[in-house]
Amino acid sequence: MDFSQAGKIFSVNLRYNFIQHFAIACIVALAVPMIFSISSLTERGAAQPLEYLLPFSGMFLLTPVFYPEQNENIRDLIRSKRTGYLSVCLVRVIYSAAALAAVVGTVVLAMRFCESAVTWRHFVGAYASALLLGSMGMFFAGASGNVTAGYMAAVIYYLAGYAMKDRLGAASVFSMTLGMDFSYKYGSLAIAAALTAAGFSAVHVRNSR
Amino acid sequence: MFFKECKKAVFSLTFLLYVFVVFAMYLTQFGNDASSAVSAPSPDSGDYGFTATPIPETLMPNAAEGLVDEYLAGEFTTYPTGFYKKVKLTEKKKTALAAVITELTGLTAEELDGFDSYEPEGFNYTADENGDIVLSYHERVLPEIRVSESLTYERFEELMEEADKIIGGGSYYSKKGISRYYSMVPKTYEQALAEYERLINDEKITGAYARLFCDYSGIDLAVMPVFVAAALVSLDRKYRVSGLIYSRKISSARLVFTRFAALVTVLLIPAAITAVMANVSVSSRYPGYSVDMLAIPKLAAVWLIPNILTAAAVGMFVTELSSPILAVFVQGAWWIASVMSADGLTGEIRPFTLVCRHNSLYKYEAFANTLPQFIFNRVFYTVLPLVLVGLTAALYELKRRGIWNGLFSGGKNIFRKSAV
Repeated sequence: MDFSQAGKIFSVNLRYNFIQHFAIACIVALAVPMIFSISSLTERGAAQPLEYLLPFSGMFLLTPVFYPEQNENIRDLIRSKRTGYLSVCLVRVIYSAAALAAVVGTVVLAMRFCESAVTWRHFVGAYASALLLGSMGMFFAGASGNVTAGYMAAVIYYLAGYAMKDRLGAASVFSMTLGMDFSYKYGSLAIAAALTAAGFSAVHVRNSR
Repeated sequence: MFFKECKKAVFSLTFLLYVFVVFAMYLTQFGNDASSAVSAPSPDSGDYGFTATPIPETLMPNAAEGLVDEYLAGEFTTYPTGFYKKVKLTEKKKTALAAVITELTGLTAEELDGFDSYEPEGFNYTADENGDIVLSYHERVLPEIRVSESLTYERFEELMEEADKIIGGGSYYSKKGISRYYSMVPKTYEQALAEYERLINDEKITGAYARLFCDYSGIDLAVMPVFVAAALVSLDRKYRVSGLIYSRKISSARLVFTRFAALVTVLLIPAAITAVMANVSVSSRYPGYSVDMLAIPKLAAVWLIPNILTAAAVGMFVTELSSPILAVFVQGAWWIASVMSADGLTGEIRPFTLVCRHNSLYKYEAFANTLPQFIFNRVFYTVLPLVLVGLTAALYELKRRGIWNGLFSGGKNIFRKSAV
């Protein structure tokens, strides 16, 4: 896949497979200041709005990476093309992750503007949590071939993390709120990358059957 | 067709996950709370917990002090959605609140704003002669506050309501806030004994546990069915059988309602099993007592079926209207709003609350006080899903006739007609 092909895939997907998910992710981000206080928060207090609600933006952006091909007509069409299906999905992952960074960054900047003690760590931490939840949904959606099951798994994972507190370690979405060491967030990013790779592998195995 | 649809639902991954969540919730939440029998209070204990009893003589000055404290600090603690939210008032609102304080305490806005010695309660850190840090508590420093003697309790309640409204809701001065933060007094032995006797004699034990079971199960059953419903409805599209089904003789209404009935039947099974398990488990912890053997399943039928119906109907309707993603979002947002908007976990059932809560074996009066709302609520959430399923059938018919393709079905015009 060359650069111009990737550009074409990007523009077509942006038009047909992105707007709805991005709109939902933005609505989630807009709900943050409505539900939580985002002004004059301490460093730890600022983690709560970022880790409680914003990960759902990640879930709504990344889980549906394999969604268009749920329709078997589209799947057959994509399979008939020379460009590999997983390359198309990779383009979707890249622009979805970039959009997620923009959403998370906007909320962090808004909090900074409201005099909360947020730093780049809050951005990285919130982004890692959103990627973790999103990649969990993506993995399940890819492994099961069912995007709804992906959302369900992500929600269950979120609730389990809420109940299990710091016992999940780097796999916890809430590590900043729980006051855990920031290095856990690098672990979260690694887990998100591993889940994404595992999701792609599962789709590859299913498609090659 | 009914059994075919049941089979489709049962063998789906989303249903397996649903079963996992229902049993996990039962075991970790209700199972944990009901793991041992409640014992009668001992007259020697002296500690029976707290109860909200408004005593105007202590409550009014305490609440007035709290309000003045927050006014001088310039920040108000609120929990409008269950989460902490700090509120700072605009000058206009501050003036309005000062007027409330003036009527309450006689302190004018000038006196309040001119008070320079204000200090919030907190801790002082000082070093002793050895250089060690010594922590000492200091009380807040406020102007002298005297609640007007002519102020009636009714007027006080009105003023507190006004203050809460100015602050934006969910403050310490809301009706719930006053009850929770300024009305708590220790329970007496007699009160604790009366509660225990109600549980054992009047409610036949399982009657009280039934509310606790429904409280916990109602949380997951108000959201998890949406996933199973959305996945089931999208199966036609996934396996390209929509056209085949469209060509069949069966009417759209019959097809959609049969599918809904099958879905709800299947979703009910794990909930019913946990209800029976709960009843058996609780009964076994009270040997020798008279226990109602059907209390939990009976209340669960009234309390939980509307939750399943609503989440499943929203799942079917929104998926047919647009996509399973939107269905998950709509029901998820509604569920979060309902769970978070609850001011308390007992006595908070309103006519349109989706997730009804009563997280206690006691406080029967709080539940009884909201019984008319509860009945209306459950009837409403039984009728609404049927309306939604009717609308789903209408959408299905439009698609079947090729008149409409669904929202966000592709292309620039979201209301485009199909190419047929």
